Amino acid sequence: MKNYLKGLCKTPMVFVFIFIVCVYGFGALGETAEINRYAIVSAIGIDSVGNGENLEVSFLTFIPIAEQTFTETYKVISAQGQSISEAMDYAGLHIGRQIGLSHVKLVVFNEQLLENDITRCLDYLSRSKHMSSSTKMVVTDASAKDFLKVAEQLDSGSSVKVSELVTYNSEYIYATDSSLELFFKGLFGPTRSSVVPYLVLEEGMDNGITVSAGGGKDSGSGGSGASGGESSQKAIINNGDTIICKDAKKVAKISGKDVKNINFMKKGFNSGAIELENFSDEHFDEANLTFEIKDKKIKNKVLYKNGVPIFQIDLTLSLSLTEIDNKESMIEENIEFFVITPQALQALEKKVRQSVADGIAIMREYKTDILDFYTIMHNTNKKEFDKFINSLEDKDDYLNHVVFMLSINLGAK
Amino acid sequence: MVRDKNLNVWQASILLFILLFANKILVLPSLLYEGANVEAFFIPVLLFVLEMGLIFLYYKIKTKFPSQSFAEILRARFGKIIAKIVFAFFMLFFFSKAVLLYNVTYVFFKDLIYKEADSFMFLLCFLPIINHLAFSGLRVMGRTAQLFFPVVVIITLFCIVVGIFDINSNPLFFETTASAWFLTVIKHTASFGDAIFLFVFMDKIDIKKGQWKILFSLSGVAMVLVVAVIVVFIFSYTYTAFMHPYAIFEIMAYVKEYGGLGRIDIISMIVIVIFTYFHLAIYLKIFMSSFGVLFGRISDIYGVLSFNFLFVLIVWLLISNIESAVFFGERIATYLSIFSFIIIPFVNLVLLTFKSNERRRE
Amino acid sequence: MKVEKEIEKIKEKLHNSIDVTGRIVKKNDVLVGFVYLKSITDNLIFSQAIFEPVSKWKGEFSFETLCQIVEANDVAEIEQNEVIEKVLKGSVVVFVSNSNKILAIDIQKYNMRTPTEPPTSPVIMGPREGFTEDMKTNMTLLRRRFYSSQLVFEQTEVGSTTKTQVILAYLDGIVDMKIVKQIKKKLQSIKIDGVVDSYYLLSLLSNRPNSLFKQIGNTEKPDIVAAKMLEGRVAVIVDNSPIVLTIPFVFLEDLQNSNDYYTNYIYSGFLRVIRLIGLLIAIIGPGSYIALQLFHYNILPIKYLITIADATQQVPFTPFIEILFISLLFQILYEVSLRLPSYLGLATSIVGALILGDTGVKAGLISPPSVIVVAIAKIALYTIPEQSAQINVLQFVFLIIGASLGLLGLIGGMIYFLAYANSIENYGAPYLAPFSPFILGDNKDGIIKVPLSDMEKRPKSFKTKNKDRNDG
Repeated sequence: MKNYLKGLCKTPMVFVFIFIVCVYGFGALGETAEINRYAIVSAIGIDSVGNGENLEVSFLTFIPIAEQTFTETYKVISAQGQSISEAMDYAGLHIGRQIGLSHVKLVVFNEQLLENDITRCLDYLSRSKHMSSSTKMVVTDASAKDFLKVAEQLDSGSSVKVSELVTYNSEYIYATDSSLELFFKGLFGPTRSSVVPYLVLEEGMDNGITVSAGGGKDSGSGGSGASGGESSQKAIINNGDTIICKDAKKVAKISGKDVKNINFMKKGFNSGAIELENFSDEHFDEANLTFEIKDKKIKNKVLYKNGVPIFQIDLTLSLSLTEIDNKESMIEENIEFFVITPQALQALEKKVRQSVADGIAIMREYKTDILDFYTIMHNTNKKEFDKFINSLEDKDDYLNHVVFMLSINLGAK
Repeated sequence: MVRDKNLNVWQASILLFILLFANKILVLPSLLYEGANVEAFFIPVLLFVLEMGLIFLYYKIKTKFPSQSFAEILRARFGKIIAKIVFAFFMLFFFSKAVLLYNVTYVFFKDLIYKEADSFMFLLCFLPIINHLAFSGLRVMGRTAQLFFPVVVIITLFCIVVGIFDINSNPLFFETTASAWFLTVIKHTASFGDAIFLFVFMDKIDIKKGQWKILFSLSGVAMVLVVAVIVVFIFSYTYTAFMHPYAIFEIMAYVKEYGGLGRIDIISMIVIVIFTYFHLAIYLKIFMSSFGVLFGRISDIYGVLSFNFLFVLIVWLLISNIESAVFFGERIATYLSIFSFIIIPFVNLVLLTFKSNERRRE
Repeated sequence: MKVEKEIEKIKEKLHNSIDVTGRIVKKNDVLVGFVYLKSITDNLIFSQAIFEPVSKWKGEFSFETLCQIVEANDVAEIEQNEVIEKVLKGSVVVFVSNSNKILAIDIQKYNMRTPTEPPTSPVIMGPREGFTEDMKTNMTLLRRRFYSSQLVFEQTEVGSTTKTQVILAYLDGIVDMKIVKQIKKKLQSIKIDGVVDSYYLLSLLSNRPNSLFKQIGNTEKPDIVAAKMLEGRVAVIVDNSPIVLTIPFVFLEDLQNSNDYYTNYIYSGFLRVIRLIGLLIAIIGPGSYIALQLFHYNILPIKYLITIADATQQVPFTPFIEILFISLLFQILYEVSLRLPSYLGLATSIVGALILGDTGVKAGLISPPSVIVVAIAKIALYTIPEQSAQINVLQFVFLIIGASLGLLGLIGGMIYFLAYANSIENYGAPYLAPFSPFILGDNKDGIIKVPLSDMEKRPKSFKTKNKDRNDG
């Protein structure tokens, strides 16, 4: 026994282990799981209350329920405060748990908030180490709290998640990059402009995602969102509308169509469709044709002439015909070996050219360079570009002084 | 006295790899970006060239005095006092780096996954293990590092590759002024210069004639990886680097979820933990050896005890936040980096001018 | 020589144990006495080959005639002081009254089971023989695999009371004789009253007997021993034990399995990866689960979080107590199922399945995720059955570390145990070779396995005399 104890003394880690067991191990016996001490938030909504001095922050929180089916049950908790941290403290008090932000996937802002500078709201989010910077950001016309209440029904009742809706939005339809990271990147970048998708909450509509939700009547801080009363149809509608921000302030709201036009010039976004209306040639007579973009290549080139940058965009598109709406049915036409005729190509080119021109016009109108042409021009020739920028009266208005040239290559695939 | 068995070239190279790589992937990239924008990635390139120079000096000295220890060489050429001074600097240099590294790691974990843990718990996690590693001797440390090495490198490569696919920005080039750039270089030299650890264990490393290329290439790989991490970080987080202080973790964090696997950023944390353990253990080992040189061959226990005591003391004083760690790093450690980049090269260059009187032991 | 007196003396020395048998035959004037232990001798051979020839002999009887007429193989003339030992080891000792010489005839026999497939290491394809408790059979099983002059058996004795025979088997010209010498020295220095099974030697032969880690290889299969001897290892056969030890031992050996060598080499590489993953799950599975629950809920993806949160909501215990409770239940069931007679095995499995799997969960006492985690970890222990005892201890250690220190503690603990394992060197073999130190050649039979034709060298993890497998 003596020898054994001597041997033990030669491995002091045994004592360290015993010490750990005594100090922390016994404590751990009585410790409840962190899951039960934190309220797991999956979405945050931020509204302004009063004269915009106070903020109302709503949290879409997961509430664990003891059952074997493992359904996700969510509740909305909201609290007011002068800052987000204060509101969070109150919300924590209301629910009796700490607010855990590590699983937030969506931040919803009220449209009104964006009328003023929203950096005040964003500061907390940017500093929080727990929140992922890939969290999606969305603006809604109604109050963010109502939005979350609809989302609550949606998240609890179905497998559709509002955050996923926005992800899809950014990846497949309109390519409105909407994560916090990209918002900040735009904000702190040279153009100081960024975009946020805009979702509409409408009553009685059924062409969006619809759930029956409480009327949103219960208000006031701390009302956890279980609501009774009459229920009405509310829908979150994604039209692809987007808000353009400059210096974290709303500049304009543009429609999905405009976003689409701008996206023609955007690299790395390869999906979408082009529609030709009332097109006639040897095959068609006043038909509506839809072409899908299969592949897109963009090359940008900047030249300086007389101190003015000439921005060349080479756009190569591969298209395939996806739908024909002809007056006379053409279904028997050989679909497999359909060739886009020169006339169609011409019409398409015209259409694309028009779209790009529209896109540039929008960016020029609001003086927001959301595609960051600035960096491209700067990196090609710093000296000339600095000269050009310094020669402008309004340095933000450089887009209006840049000459854009577009060449389009269309091909069928 | 712990009898250290010698390291083979692979183990020495892996330890060198850890020292070159590990303390530069967490907070350094963000700080570099703050000082020098996109051009920041060139700073490690410059400093690594200098560091390669240090390794090359080691090569020269080691081939000239194959079996003597650095302390013996210094004693024989410059006298006892100079040797002691140099080793006192070694002690101070690596001790302050240990504190710095520990602080950064502490703040990182406290921020991210240990919200409610107390600082004592962190000390309890780290100190016993690094003491054990240092006491088990260099060879055991080298072998254990060898075991973790492939795992850690694969994860790092994975992080970098994932990061590359996620690069999503278009930075502005040539916005940094030369003076700002150089100021950043000077501020952050303290994070570099770890290669001088080779001198401390000069006689403990067995390198045969053809094996030098292993040491050089592995340290080259470490440098390339550091630069890669920094480049990926800077290009993924242009303009927003200030929001993301923990580079290797953030590279992964943005990717977030891989289907059912969930958040894969945790694997970058594993890299950081493993590296920190070994890093601190090596620092402690250096401290022990230098302590031995300074105070004669008294028991290693005193060296370890004084390291632990000082470590706990300074960590208690400094532990509060990352700002104090950064302050510490930029002010105090920067002065110490004079030691690694000026004194050590100078001493060694002088040594090279002497004639070798090493008796060939065959 | 007075035969009666001699027999009485022997009986007295053996404390008149009832199996000591003495018989005396009178041939003319000559008395012939036989002494033997009937418990370990072959009665048939005694009566037919020894007793009958003597009793039927007519004529003058002397010691020389005795030597001629006895029809047994193992006949030897012995000294007076050897008598007791010979009797104890199953010989018939014969005294003749007109001679001072003593004859011992070895007719040891006891009932032994035949070599069957050992339950601890069954194979799908491959030899199904296993060692038995009989040393001679074991030697036969080995000799049958080497019809070569290189195979050497050396005998020693261990244990002051049991005098257990221990045999070292090795291949001369392949094994490093220093290792053999070291083992002999160690065996001679062992001070113990008895060695009942080879497991006694397992800790006595290792350099760090207090360590948790197993440092000597053990197997029940002759084909494995033969393969290890071919690699340059020494086998230690202990009488009365079906388990043969092999020295030197590295951890990798337990990761390997005899099945690996009797199947496709790519598949066996895959299996080894699985075993390694199983090992990892077994050691840190419950620990990391508890660490995630107590410290780092935020690194769990939300889907898992929801499942765990929903499932643990009704559980009255805290997570740590819950996991300990389930682990304990499992351990009790395991212990019981080993001890219970097989006809009750069904009952335990029903109780186990019902209590653990169903009722406990339905009653809300334990949560399904915890049951899953513990069950997987406990089953994963047996991916490396030879190490399951150590891994089980480690599992509990890591469970406690995970609950008290979280992720950092788990990784720190892993580093500690690996560093500790790295500091072990038995008979010149680093414990974790060939991974650390990394030995490229040995990794051909490491986690990945190359075809047999490419394994031309013997392992370099420890010393051998001849590295080349194809040489001689």
